[in-house]
Amino acid sequence: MVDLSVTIGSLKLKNPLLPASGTFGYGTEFMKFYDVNQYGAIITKSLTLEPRSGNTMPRIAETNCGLLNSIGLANVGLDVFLNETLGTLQHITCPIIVNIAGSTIDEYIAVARQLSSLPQIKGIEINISCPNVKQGGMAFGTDPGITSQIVSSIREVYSNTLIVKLTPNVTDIGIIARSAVDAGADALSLINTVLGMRIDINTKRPLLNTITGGLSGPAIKPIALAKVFQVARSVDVPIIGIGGITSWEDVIEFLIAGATAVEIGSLHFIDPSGPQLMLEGIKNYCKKNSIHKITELINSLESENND
Amino acid sequence: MKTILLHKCLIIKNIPITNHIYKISFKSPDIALNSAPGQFLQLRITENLDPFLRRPFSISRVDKKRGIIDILYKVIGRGTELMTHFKNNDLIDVVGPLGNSFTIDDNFQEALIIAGGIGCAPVFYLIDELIRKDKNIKLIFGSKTRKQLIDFNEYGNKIDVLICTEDGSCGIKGLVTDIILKEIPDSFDSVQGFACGPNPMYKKIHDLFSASKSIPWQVSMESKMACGTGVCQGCAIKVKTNEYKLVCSQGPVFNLKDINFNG
Repeated sequence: MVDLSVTIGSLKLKNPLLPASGTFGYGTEFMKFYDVNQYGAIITKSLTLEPRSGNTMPRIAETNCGLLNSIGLANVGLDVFLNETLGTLQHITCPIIVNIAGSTIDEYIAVARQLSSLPQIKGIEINISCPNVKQGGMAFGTDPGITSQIVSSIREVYSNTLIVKLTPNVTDIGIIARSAVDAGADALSLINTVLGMRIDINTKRPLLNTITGGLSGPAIKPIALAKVFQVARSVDVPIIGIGGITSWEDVIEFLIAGATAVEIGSLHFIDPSGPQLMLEGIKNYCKKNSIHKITELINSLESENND
Repeated sequence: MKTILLHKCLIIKNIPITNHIYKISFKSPDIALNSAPGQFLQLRITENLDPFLRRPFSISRVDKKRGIIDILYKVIGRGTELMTHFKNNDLIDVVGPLGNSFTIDDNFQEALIIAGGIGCAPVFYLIDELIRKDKNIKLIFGSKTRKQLIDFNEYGNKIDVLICTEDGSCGIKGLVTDIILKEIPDSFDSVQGFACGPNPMYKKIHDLFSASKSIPWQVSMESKMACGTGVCQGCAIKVKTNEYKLVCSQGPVFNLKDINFNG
């Protein structure tokens, strides 16, 4: 038997696979395809204090081996989440982590405070890295001072597991990572999408309404892997690797680079068959390589050249 | 019983039926039995990840007895170009049936169907169902030219067909929307409109019918789509309440009067 369990903050997860926020709804949409409790934990769509309808069309554009999106954090808002959505999450028996976002620091605090009183919610992931909103989002996550301020403010009102989701669109992600950890983050998740764009050469118009958007999918996997590697050497908290993961081999790569767990994102759009095959692949790899605990793989990069 | 939504289907035919438009047929007794007109399928184009996304296609027709599904596709980009290379006996990775379907109830006896170009794909399945329910059917189908016409002759006198082409190379010259007002019966209490085509066609129908004759229209909306299952929220369209609705999971069939064409 291979022990696939990992620990993120105060959360013990049965395996290191999680769905990335925004690619999985509230976990209910995929129940008709498979038992979503196969995941180590569920991360819900970004939640904001007020409901948001999202950006105008077009919101998505395909790229080579990837996808640009500019959804704009469309979500039901805190009140509906508390009064309606929560009730639909009864079937989820694995830990539920809520991703939260806001335009101001006070909005983040208000949402975090409400969630802290809910026994069903085991953790929050703070989104300071969305590239598709005018206020908040990535504007917060590219500034180490604001990152520190936002994380420490939320830490004051939220005592369960607190994960901070980082953007790759910075000069030095290590600086932002240290700010978040010093301010009290239990774990970091990275990377959110990479800023990108596409243009229709016939009309000379951008393919997204917001001109630029967030690139996801296999196209960004090498970038994500390098950022995880970099952050793993900057901080001492668990890292959740995100970015273009589509196979069990990808998961192993992220663990070796320094991730404790991973989030599966855009793969949900093309393969709604669930994480079971990926988990089998990981187990087989471990057996073959005499690995008894998956945690043995974390940060196990060989021939590292630090000079 | 849980509906099966993931399928590997055996391709039995993949042929051009007119200029740039192909028909692909594959085996899937599950989809044939559990789908309804208006629903769509998400097809994986390649085993690898480029093109990355699946491609959504309306179910064009099902043969419930033989368990065969037809899809019509127009070659417009790399994904659909790659599809033309699918061969008989290849397996195709299909997710579906997805989305809602046309409502065919007892509130109408006359069905007026407007179809434009490749948008006509779901019309075959719709007509088959309407015939089964003994409705009177009038179809107005338009394309750019004669070369792009899709053949509805097999229905013989079971339906009343009117053809138009933009260049006048066959049937009436003009757009389908130029002639529909003339084709509405004077007494239209029990007429249900169905429209399948590009979104600008729906806007025209919307504008024409909000002014005078008002019959209810069910339309199959188009939108760029990623997941097809309601999680990515990429395929939203605006409705009259200024909210967004998702074409994939709250559609693709909408009541035309609910669509906000100014958003």
